[in-house]
Amino acid sequence: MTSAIRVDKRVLSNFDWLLTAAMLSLCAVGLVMLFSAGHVHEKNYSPTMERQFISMSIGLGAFVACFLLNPTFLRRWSFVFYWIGCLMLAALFFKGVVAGGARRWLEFGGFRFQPSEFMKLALILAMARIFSAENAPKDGYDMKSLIVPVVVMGLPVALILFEPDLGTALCHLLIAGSMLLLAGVRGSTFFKLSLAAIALAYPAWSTLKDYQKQRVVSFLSPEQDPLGSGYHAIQSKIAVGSGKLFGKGFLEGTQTQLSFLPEQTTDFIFSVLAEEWGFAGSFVVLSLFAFLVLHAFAIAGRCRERFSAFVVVGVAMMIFWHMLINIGMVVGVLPVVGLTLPLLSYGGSSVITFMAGLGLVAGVSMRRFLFT
Amino acid sequence: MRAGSGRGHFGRRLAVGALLVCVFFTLLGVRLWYLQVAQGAYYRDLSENNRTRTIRTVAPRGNIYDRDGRILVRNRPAFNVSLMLEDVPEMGQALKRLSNITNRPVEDLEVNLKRGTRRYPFEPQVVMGDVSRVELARVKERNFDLPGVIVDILPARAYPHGDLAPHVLGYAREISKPQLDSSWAKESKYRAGDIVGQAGIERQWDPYLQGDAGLRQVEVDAKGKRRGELGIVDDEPGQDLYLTLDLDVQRTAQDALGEEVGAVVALDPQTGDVLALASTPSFDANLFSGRIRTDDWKRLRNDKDHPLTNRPIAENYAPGSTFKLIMAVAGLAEKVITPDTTFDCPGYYWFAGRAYRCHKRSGHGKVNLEKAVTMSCDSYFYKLGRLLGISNIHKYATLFGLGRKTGIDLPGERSGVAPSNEWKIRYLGERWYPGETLSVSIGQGFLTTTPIQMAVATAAIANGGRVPKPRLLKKVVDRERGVVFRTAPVFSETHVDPKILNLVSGYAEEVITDKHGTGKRAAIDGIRVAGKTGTAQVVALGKETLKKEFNDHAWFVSYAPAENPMIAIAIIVENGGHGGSAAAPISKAVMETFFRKRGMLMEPEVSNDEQGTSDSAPQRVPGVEATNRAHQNGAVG
Repeated sequence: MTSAIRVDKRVLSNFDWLLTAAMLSLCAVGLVMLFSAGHVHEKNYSPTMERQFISMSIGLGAFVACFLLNPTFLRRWSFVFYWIGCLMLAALFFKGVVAGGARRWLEFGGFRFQPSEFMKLALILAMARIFSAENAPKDGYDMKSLIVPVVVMGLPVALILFEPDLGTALCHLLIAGSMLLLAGVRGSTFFKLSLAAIALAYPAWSTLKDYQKQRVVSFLSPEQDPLGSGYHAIQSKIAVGSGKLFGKGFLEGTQTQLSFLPEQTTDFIFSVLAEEWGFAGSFVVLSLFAFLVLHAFAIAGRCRERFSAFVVVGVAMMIFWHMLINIGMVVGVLPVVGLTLPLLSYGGSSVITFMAGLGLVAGVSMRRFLFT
Repeated sequence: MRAGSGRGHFGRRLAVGALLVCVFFTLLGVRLWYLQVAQGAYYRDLSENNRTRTIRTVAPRGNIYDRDGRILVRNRPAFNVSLMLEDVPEMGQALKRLSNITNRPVEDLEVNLKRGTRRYPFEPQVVMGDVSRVELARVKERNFDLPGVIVDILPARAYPHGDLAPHVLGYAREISKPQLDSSWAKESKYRAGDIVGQAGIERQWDPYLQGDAGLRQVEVDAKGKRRGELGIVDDEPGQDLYLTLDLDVQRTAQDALGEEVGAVVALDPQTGDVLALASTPSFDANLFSGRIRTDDWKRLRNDKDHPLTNRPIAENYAPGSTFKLIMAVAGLAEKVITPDTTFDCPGYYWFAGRAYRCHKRSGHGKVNLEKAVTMSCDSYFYKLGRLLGISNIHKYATLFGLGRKTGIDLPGERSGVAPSNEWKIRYLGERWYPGETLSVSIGQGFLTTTPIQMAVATAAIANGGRVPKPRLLKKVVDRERGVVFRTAPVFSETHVDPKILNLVSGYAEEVITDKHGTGKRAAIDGIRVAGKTGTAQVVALGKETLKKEFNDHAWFVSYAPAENPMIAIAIIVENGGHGGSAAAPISKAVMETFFRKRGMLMEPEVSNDEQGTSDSAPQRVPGVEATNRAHQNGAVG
């Protein structure tokens, strides 16, 4: 039996300070933005920021715990986490708290959390386990060998779709899908799957809820419906663009402070940054994200152990897709999908999940010389 | 555990993945650059538009003064009770409470609410305009259970003299929704919430009175709630108007009309200045300055005497015998008669197989022009009308300003009719019949005039043949820049020989002074007054009735002093009977006020003395002065 936690001095000396610094920087930016977006007027006080600070403290604990975890232990228990995640998603149908027409939250003794966030990490672990298995095809997945990973990926996606939470389901699909591509898919199989995806596009569209269709339509031409769904996109673009090169200044963003910007503590937190700190601020944050993702890729590339490498790229893809979809939405190039911006958006489950994921990456990074 | 043989492939795929990630990051960066730097100024403007709102502050209107600088119209603070709709929890309940507190019907409040010209969220909507102090106190008292109810102060119009000259002054109030939608509002600078002149001088000279609205730029949040003030552009108060109206003369005119329905116009024949323009029944212009209450409005609209009609300019009457002055001028100028030409009056004039009666059934005997005018002999003027023909009558009527608007600076003027053959063909589709000329000759038939036209024509006879364009506006004074506009007298020439006018003027003096003159009651000691009575027939000849509304309209035109006229007057008293008894005393009263102010009148005991003599004045001439239309039709048929 391997112990869950296995660290020695040699390993600790390789602690990934850069990664941690980038993560904490993003957390700090997030807190500043939340102060601006969530502060009560006339008072120097932002309840949103304070709650986020508590979440981040917990997240930091999760980060430490995750980098201490023994990869062998993780690998063994990965399917256990996966099934726990699926069970919690299933539990939503019976005990889920309804908000905004969907059951997304589970309540445990006064705490509320989103199982779908935890599920992202569990799915990454499960997929990493499958891709690193001894019997994994060496020359890429074909149709037959794809069955297992697709089923493992499909179950949580289906459960989340039924909440319903299209954005998060799509996010799971993108994370697991990109891991699959990195694991390798045969050219002919990839071609066939692409054809199938195109063929399925229309039936998929017809099963979308009206508000989801409306979002896509309003994304394509937001000016057609400026007071409805298009309002978010228009106001966000105005906020971002009006920041110009150096921004309007901390607490000076009129779009934010006068509430023109919707959902400014969660989905549109990046608009707050862009408005108050301008292109300079946006560029810094974008660079921090790029560093995190590429740094993780580098770690995966150097990693001698397949399971850990897949965990790292999985977390990297999780951060990447969230970031791309969120900022893409904020700058008006992607439809309005309620996905958080990693570490910046307000939301405990989200912040803790990302910090835990980065803990896994830090753990792998720290142990990179272990198997030499 | 090792990555095994797939490791090299994995590394390659990682590299491709990293490249793709880089591409996406670059795309996001480029998009951010495009929005924030390339398009930054554009989006900054949009965000400024989002947060700023410009609010017009209505400028106080200019004051209106009479010719001596006495205030006629000014502004007063009005308290409006408004609702901030966003802060009202339940509209029905709020209106009910307000209605209970103030005893105003809920329906009125609802009407005001619907009439709302609110343009933005968080802009208060007035539901009770111009509340009284008592109502105000009650609303303030109950403020705690009236959430969303706001009391604000706005300037409103005040007419300190109440029912004095409301037809001239008009009224001003908030622009209505239909007006706002009209092309008139779009072409001019009017906006919702502006106080706009709706009638009379207030409307005619609104551009001067209006001033320029100020602007307040405020910061608003996404819901439209005000957060702060960004800047103020002060409003430019409206300019003050000085009218030609004389407050004393106007008051005398209205008082002299008293309970009678009628009109008085007094002009300065040398300038066209309107000294008085009275219309009765009158009303209190203050009723209109706030939001007029529905019952007041209905009462005024449904009154059978039409108090809202500005009779001096908007009502057409047959001028009756007052037209004979113009006939006399026409006859002499066209040389169809001389002052010595005499006609015999047997009490009627025979034409086309029937008798056109003179008002004196026994006849005037042999009359020359002088006698014909002083005694108002109809037979003489029937004959004169035959000699002149309708086209000559039309020519002189038109020369003296009849049949067209005088051009007074008031909205709603009517033109009356100076009939001619062409006129009849155009409007009635048939040619002129000679019998109709006879009616017109004594100021009846198709001939209709407004009182102001008769005043203008009288002024032209008085001043030697120049027809003045009546003017109410004397000058416009800016509170900072002084006089910015001054009107000049405008005349049109009749080119009638002044000697002829002098002659006719002499006859008109005899109307007042001769012992048989019809206008003796207009006489003033020490001042040479000239005038002419008239009686415009209302119902058919011979129908004796006691009902007042079938009585004839009494006319009187006059001017004085005859040697150098300073005032010309036209008076009509509806259903007043004979001009000499009903209208002439009004002329006297108006002139006395006018001349007393100028120190030209003897002391009051003199006028007492006069009153004594007027008691013994000849009794009112009964009967009818003229033929009637029914009669004419009979003649035609």
